[in-house]
Amino acid sequence: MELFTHISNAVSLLWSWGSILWTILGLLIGIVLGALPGVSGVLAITLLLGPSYYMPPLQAIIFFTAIYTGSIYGGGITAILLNIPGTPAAIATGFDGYEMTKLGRHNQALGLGIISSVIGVFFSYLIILFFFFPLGRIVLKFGPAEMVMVVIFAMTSIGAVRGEVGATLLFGMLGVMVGTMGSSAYGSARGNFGVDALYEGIPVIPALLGMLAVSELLIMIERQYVLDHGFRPQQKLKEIIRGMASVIHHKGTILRGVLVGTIIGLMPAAGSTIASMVSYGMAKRASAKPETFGKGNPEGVIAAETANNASEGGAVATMMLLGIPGSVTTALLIAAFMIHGMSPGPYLIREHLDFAYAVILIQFFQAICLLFLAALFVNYFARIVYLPTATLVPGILILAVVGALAPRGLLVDVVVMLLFAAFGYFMKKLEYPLMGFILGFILGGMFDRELIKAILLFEEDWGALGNRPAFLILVIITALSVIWPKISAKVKSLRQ
Amino acid sequence: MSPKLWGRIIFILFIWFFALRYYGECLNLRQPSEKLTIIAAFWVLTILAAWEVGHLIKKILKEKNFSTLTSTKFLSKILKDKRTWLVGAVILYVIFIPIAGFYLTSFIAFCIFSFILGSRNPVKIIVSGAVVIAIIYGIFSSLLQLSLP
Repeated sequence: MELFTHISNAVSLLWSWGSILWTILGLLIGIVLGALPGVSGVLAITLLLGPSYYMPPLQAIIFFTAIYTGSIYGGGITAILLNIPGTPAAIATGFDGYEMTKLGRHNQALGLGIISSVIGVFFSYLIILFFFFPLGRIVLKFGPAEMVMVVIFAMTSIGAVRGEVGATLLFGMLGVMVGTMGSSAYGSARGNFGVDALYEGIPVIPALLGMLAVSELLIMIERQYVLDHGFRPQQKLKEIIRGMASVIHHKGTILRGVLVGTIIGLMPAAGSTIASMVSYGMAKRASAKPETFGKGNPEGVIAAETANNASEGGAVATMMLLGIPGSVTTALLIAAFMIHGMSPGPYLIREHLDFAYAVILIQFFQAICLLFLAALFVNYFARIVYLPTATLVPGILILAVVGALAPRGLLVDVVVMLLFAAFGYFMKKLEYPLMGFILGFILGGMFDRELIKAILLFEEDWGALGNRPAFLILVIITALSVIWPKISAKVKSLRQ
Repeated sequence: MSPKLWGRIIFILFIWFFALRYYGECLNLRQPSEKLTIIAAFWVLTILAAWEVGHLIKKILKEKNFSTLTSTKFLSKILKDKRTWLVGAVILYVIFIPIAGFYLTSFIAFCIFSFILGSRNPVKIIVSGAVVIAIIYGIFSSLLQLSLP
């Protein structure tokens, strides 16, 4: 009964033209930028974090989740048409999507991509809608010790997924240090190196803009066009719709994709790329004709697109429940919540549960909008990749400066952005895990506060931590995430 | 020698020195709890950085591929790279924002950035610059009432 009260409150929060407009605008921006290899929704969200400061909180979050949804779908367009995924999450889509294009079935592949994405988003959030309340009750029992362990677990699990726990933890700790710069809980200046403007800490928006947007531009300018490709297939709406309808013959693949995507999305660090790869692999194993995968089998597109979009529901749920990001995009969503004075995790569940439900409910509307927008404009979205970088890069650079100036209007924030751009560029060029740093940086302040609270609570009796089951479970899974890559490598070598 | 491996070592050392500087500054804080997170993070970072650098040195010694890159060659490579020119132009852009104002500086910066990145059609550069600045003005100044320098 309590669940329905929250849902009805959430509906009343959403009841405005703003929700509709920001959803449509966010989806359009997300699809366009998601289709651009190397740009993606991350850049869009980063650029718009600053200006979102002036938007009402719910509409800002709606806008960003719409960009998120649009960008995951958008990444699949170029994967299908040009075999160049706009985002890593669309790599598996290209396995069969591009083969279908080569066989002249690109309209069917695009149709399947659209409907699979819509189904993935819709049903993953439906699952989350019913499990959010009971999961939220568990999270409310988390105290400072558990929150400290949650941050450590997030770092080690990201490292485990990438196969480099040490480097992720190293940069995670650097992130924690940078995230605590400014002033301490007692008001003393801490790590601001004499710069008064940094007393409130390193500004999150300029730092993220530098690391994610500007550094990416420096990599992008190595190319003359975002994509230089001679082949330009024509899209036909009728055939795309026929392709969408053909999904009815693949119910099992759809169901598997939704479940795999949602469950993997719930795990910190796993994310949409892994979800689509696992779902693709499972669809191939379950198929009566596994040899047709990679040669233009529509089930390959359905499996990949359903799962990568379904992972969004899981990732957003973990982000709102625990306050830990599963990907760069959800890290940016946490930053968006923080800008509007809300801290995802137990605090959000306790103080703003209706708000959290509103974020979940709007996703159903977003899924329906995505269906129409994608079908109508897919032809135009695919053309974005032919933009010259000499026009695109300067435009984005100036937008990044606007984004850095937006929250405070201080030029020092632009300098911070440039310093973090250099840092992000070297991190990417040297192939170090930027995500580890971002996680530590965003959660550094919270980690510091919760660690102090945990010490004050348990310094008299550390043994009391043993009576906290959630803490013990988190310690065990953190230890497992550290040793798991070593165990699995050992098992693999023994098998060989 | 592999420039990437050396690059990684220099990068790790650079961040370690930064962490050391921050750690040193925090040691002067009065309350123990104010510096606890920093001390813990610094020591974990130090151990992991030492491990990473050791691992990288081992890799370099294993490679045994010692090619040379003279400082003159390196400098000419850097100067020919359009990224160097773009970064220089961005720094100048940031310096000129408070002097000439955001919109005028941004318009000129857009044209210069486009030129550095290979665009040679002056009409195209000026029109694209004007369109971008007009969009920024329309959305951020008129719609969102954002005050830019």
